[in-house]
Amino acid sequence: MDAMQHDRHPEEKPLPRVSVYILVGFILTVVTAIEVWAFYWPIPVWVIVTSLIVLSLMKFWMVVAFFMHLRYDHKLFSTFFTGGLVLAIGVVLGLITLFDNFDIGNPPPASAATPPPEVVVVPAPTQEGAAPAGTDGPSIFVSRGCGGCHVVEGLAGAVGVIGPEMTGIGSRAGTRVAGLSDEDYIRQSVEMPEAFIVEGYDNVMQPLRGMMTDEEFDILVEYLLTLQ
Amino acid sequence: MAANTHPPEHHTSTGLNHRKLLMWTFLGSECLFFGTLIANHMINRNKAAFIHDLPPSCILDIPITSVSTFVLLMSSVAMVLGVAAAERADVKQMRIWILATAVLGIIFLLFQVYEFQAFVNEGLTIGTNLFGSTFFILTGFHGAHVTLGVIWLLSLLVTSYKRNDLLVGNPLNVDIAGLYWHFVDIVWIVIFTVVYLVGAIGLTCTEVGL
Ligand code: HEC
Repeated sequence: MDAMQHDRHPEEKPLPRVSVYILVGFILTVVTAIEVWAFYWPIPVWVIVTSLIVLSLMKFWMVVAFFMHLRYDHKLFSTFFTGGLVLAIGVVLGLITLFDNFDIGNPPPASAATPPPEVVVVPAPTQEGAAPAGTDGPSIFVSRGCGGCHVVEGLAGAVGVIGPEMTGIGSRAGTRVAGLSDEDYIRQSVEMPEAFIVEGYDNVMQPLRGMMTDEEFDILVEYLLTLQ
Repeated sequence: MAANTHPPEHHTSTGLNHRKLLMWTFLGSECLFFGTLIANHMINRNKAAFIHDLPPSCILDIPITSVSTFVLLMSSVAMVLGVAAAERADVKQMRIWILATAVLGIIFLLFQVYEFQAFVNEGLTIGTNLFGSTFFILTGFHGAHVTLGVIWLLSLLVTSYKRNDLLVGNPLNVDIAGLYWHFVDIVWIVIFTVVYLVGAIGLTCTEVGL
């Protein structure tokens, strides 16, 4: 052990013994096991989350202090590292606060005040032609389940309130996303609903493009464009 | 240890080795790098369409990841033993522990390859949704760091056979690689807690149907 202490600055403490490293490794293993065990434990989520964060900070510190022997080294090393670390923690907390979206547990769809998706009565998509699906826009809109979440004035079966009303979408679509034409916006709304979330609504619309043929999709888009 | 084996860099204005100081500064900046990627994932993971009618975090496999986390932890223990051996100028032990660290690192990477493949088979790729892109970017960059660490360790091993004087007189060459390796481990400590455990806690991962 003494052979190497020549490397050290006079202000630095001697490095720990190998037995210290082994002990730290053992404690880290036990703490990790406790974390995984807590994860499966039926206690309130906030209790688990708080303990998980405390325990992992502890592990973080132990590795830095002992394995990276920062505890024994010159203060200047700590200063340079903690400088970056503190900035990083600030950035992380800042971003989370800014976007206010550090959700724990189920994402909004299942927990939001709006009726959860499972109670929505969505007409089953007619795939094997079980019910004669019309090939005009309104029939496709209803038979593909859009009506379960969207209202179209005067269209029977289009009564859902999970999503915004479709009446008038033809005149609104072009104004939603700068640079997207009304048609492109509607296509995107069905292909990648998460790309733009209408204010006041949750991201619960599934990408439903796969539920219809290209032809049906074209007819549907054309129909929505006519809803003024 | 004869004084003339000390490289000139030991005589610095701070009295500290500047390569080591550089490594710590670099690691400080890496905190910012990974911090933003982690925040990016936390902010966006729930802004994603469901996969098979389930919240995307349901795809995480906690038992398997716990094992790979343990593997990475053990690699850190092996690393610290390697550094200690280098400082005792115990070449044989140093080689064993550096090799063990690299092998454990490779096992960790294989776990990651397995996980990524499983996700892709489930239909989650980097382009699927915001969960996928932020997850793969974060864990992918971590995996890249592990890969670089493995290469670094293997190159130390080769050095110990070809130019052992570079390591025996200068345990710092092993120590600095060790600092990097441990840092990659602590980043995983945070990812495992925040992305996996906290991310998947309290989820109802049974079919909700739509
Ligand atoms: C599970 C309920 C649900 C179903 C089924 C559904 N949507 Fe939606 N839709 C929503 C919600 C919620 C929004 C608002 C959030 C968003 O923008 O993703 C939305 C938004 C839209 C928008 C953008 C509206 C606007 O005002 O900008 C369009 C267009 C749209 N849906 C079309 C469709 C079509 C076409 C179908 C059928 C293929 C369909 N939706 C099926 C829930 C649903």
